[in-house]
Amino acid sequence: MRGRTGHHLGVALGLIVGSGVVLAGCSAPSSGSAESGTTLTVFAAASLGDSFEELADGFEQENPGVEVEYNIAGSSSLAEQILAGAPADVFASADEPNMHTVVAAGENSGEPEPFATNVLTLVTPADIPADTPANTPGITSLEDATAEGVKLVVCAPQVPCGRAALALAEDAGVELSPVSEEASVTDVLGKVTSGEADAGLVYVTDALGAGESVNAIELENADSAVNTYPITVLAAAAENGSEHPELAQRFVDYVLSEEGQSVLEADGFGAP
Amino acid sequence: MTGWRAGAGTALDCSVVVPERGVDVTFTVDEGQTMALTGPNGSGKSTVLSALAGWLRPETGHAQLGDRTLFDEHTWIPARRRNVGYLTQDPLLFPHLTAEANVAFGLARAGVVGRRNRRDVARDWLGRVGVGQLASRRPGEMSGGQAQRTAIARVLASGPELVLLDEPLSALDAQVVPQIRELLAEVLTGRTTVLVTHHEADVVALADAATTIPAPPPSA
Amino acid sequence: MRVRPPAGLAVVGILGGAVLLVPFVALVAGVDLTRLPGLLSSPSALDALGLSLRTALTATAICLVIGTPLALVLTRLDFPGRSFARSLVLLPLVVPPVVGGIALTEAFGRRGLIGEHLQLLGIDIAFTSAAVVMAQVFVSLPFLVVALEGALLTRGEAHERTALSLGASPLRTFLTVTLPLLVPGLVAGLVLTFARALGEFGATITFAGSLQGTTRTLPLQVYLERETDPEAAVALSLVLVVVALVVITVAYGRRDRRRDDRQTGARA
Repeated sequence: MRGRTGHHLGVALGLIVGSGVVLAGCSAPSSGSAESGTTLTVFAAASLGDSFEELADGFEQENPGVEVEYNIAGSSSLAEQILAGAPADVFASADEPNMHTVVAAGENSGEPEPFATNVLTLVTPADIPADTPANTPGITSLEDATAEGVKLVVCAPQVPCGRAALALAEDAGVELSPVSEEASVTDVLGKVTSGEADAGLVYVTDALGAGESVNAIELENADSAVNTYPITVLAAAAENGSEHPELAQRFVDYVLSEEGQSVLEADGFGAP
Repeated sequence: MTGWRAGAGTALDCSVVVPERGVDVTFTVDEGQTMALTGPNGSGKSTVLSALAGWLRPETGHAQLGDRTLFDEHTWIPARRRNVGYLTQDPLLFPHLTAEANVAFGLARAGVVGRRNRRDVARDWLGRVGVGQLASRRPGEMSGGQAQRTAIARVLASGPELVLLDEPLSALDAQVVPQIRELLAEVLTGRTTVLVTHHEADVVALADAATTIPAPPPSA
Repeated sequence: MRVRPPAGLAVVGILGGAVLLVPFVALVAGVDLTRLPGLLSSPSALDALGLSLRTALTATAICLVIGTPLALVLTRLDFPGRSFARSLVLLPLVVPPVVGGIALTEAFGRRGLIGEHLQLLGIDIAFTSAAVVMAQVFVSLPFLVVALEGALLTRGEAHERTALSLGASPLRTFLTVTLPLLVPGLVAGLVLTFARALGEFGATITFAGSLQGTTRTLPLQVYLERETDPEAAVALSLVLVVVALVVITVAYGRRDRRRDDRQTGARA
């Protein structure tokens, strides 16, 4: 089923998505460094954006002449693009199902390895005066957030953070009755920072990234829904150039190294 | 069958000055007479009609229609209260209405009350202008001559005290012009009228007097 | 005999057409017809379709009621800054819909300029179908206003003047002359307005949220479906394309026919 889906998408989206990616890929080498200039293309999930920028700097320092280029998007979009033939060297997914899609299509080279975890946290708008009638004060737990009249926003069950939210609620024995099920965790966060929603379920890393604009409330049973991030070298790396597979593996190793892990940890990710 | 004739025949005394268009015209039309305004293109003939109809306020001047002042320095009666009929080379029939409904449109002002009465009067007028058989046609289904006949019926049926004609024949096919001219001569009899035309034949057939407006000074 | 464009231009023109059409052809090719009935009759798809039709029709009706007077004000009323006002109307057309959604949140959200006061009256717009309709009105109103402005400007005021000269009041002139003459432009404008409202995505997801049956319209459903079942997303996309196609064919086909009629009528 998945394979056929991919094929159809190749037909339907190849022209739009694929061509854009191919163009981006084509222009990459010219911007690489003049000498042994190699450009490594990494497809990374949206939530990894900031951390991977930092990792790239470290990796480029350790490997002179190598430049890391990112394509940052939702994991499912990235998987679609890879299946449509995008010339990526490394894929870092925010969840296992999307990595599975890529593996099932045989687009990987070597086993995917978990490199980080992420858990959900409850966020509420930070700068609301306590006496504002619009906002239900005193939300300190998932139970509070699921109470009648509280505007809770979560991710839709179709996306990883939504699945995690469901698992979390089941574990806590509460039923979620959200006013909105967003397609991405960014949209959940947006509804909370703008004050439209009273509470939202987002990843710890997102809450950390939002800084002062939200209150993050740690959930007791957060560990009941741990999201694991896998990373893999892609089969397409071999087509990008003879040195690419080895370089891609070196990048994966760097992410898994102590140095890489400390970067991820600083951004709120857990160890695999 | 009296109300819609009530407005016929009131004298006009007017002076229209619009410096930016080089217009400075003064003339009078006796009760029931037709005055032809002639002159070269750009001399402001249509500007005079616009002022009398109520579409353009002249800088100075006045217009006295019977005992009413249409405009002067202090007065400005809006077009819809002037009781002045205006017919152009484009019949401007309402395309979504039948010929009968077009003619009936202005009957409220003429004091014709009741839908049935209006229909009868409108049909009567269509008959008088020679298109009685087209009462239920829409303008899109008429020839140019038929449409202009309907427009003549419409403007006269509304009972205007003054009729303004702006080149009423110039957009018609040459072979229907004499017939429509004849019709105008007939229905305008006894009505105070100002006619703007290029054609000597119109002046001869329709006008009791003529005023020639000189060409504007060659400024622009 | 028509004056033909130079041959080179025709080739580029055909390429231009291909740019527009190829993605849709690919979309149709990507649909698994055997799965189509099942995909389209799922509760979530039906909810989304029903919600989309309801909200888009409501938005179109609101656009009609507020857009017609707006177009009249912009074309028939002289006031300082009119041409600037006319270009302002185009703003929602050219800003990204997400920006529109953010602007709507700033205005009508809980902490918004107006929303704050509505909140005190117990009116809460966010996360309701009303928010969806507002987002749709916001992005689609310019289509109606532009279409009506065009119709009003090409037709001019001669018929209205005739009506006033025949003694009709301004209201009667508006109702019996202006409005009927506007109908062709109005139909074309309403169709575009409806199609745009139906396709609205960015402002909705930013301002209204996404909940099945309440705020998750068909475009939002397509976007979400992509995450787990791209094939279903393609099928739902096809529905949107077909609806848009029907709507446009009906409106523009009709208009072209009328124009042909008028030309033959003039010749006769």
